[in-house]
Amino acid sequence: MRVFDGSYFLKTLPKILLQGVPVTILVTAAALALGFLLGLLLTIVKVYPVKPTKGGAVLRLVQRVLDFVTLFVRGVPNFLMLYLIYFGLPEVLEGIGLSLSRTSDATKYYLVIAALGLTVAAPASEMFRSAYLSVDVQQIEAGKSFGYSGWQRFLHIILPQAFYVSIPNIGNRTIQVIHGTSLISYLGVLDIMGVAKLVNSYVYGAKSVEVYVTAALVYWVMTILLERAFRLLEKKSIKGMQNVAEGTV
Amino acid sequence: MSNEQLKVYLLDLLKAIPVTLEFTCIPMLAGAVLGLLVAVTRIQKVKVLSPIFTALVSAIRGIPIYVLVFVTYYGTPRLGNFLFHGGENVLTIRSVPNVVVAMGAFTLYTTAYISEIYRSAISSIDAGQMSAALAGGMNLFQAYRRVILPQALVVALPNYGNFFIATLKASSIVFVVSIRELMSVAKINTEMTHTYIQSYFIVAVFYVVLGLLFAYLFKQLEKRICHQY
Repeated sequence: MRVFDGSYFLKTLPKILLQGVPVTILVTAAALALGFLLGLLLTIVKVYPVKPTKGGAVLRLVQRVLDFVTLFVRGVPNFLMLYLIYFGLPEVLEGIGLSLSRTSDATKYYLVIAALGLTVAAPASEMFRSAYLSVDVQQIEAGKSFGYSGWQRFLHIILPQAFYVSIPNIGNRTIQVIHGTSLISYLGVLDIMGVAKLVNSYVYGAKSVEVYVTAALVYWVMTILLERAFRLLEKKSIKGMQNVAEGTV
Repeated sequence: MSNEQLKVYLLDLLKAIPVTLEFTCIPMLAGAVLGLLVAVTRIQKVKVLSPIFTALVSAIRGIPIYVLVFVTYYGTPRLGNFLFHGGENVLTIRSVPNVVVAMGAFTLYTTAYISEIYRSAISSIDAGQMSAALAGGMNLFQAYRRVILPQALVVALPNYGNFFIATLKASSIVFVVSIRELMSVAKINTEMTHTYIQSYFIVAVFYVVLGLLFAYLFKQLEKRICHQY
């Protein structure tokens, strides 16, 4: 017996690349989109200025509740969140009269994406909040003095700067979600790890080392590529920020 | 869940807390020691070892911990056969206890991440400190022990605390090698009682409380240590 059977590596790799990688990318992208959107909405509510009226008091309460929910969701392991949503959400929906067909593939994907999206949304809302707070107050006041409306200030002044601050965090989060998707193979989704398990079962586990090392290598390469891409993006946007500062734009 | 079932479940969860903590604290402590060696080796650019560690750290950080557990689980006996038995099929996955495999995988994981925490902390210390220590007649070991590390560890502590909590949560995946920690107790309970929401929600509360507890402890530690400066 050899320590590593290279021929089996070559047999597994195309299957993972063709079948597993697209699923992993799809689920990651969907979870990130859902999570960031939800996170952004959460942030807007959380940083919305409270006015001393009756409506303000309600808003304050909502903000407190959202802070607590964020804290809770952040404290739950990914695996547990996946299980809670995957098995729990259909139970809740049945309770209110909606029944999901648990056997359909589409339902499986929706539930998995919802769970991963939630695990992204909670930390994302904190990340966006700190990015928002990092924008200088004077910038916002300058916007006001130029007659920008609230939305214009948000769109043209806060968002570009907050986005730049968030880039490294978004990069890290993306990599974490890709790693987190490996857990969905446990629920029978054929992502990178899911395909690896399937291939492994074809040979009754005789080639587990080769198969799982192949999967690990694919994750590693994906991680390295993403790290590079985000570093490039960061560099590019630093240039953009400098141009703005120097008044060349 | 009936009251009786709930009581049994809660007791089982309480019994599982030490196991979860074991799979958090031991890798975190081992990682704190090994990670320091890796970080210093890389910063000092030690020949041969430094590039090997760089590649290993990148690989382990690039692989999901779930996959890492699988690779270690199947890879350890294979490697053992190759190293000690000349490639004969002597060891199987049953020869190595699951606890050891899971602990090994988690220690690799924490070592890689903690070494990066140390590395960024050490490189945040002004280079002049090292020059001054060496000029003052200290050797490299003394310079690290007396000048660099006391400053770097204070910088590293908040990140170490965050990573501790991340590891606490990540430890939930050792149930795939059938170790009875919090997550697996919850899973077994749902299979018996078919109460998904209740079971998983209760165990979620356990994780959140444990996480908050450690967050508080690290905050106190930070306060106490930073107070000296």
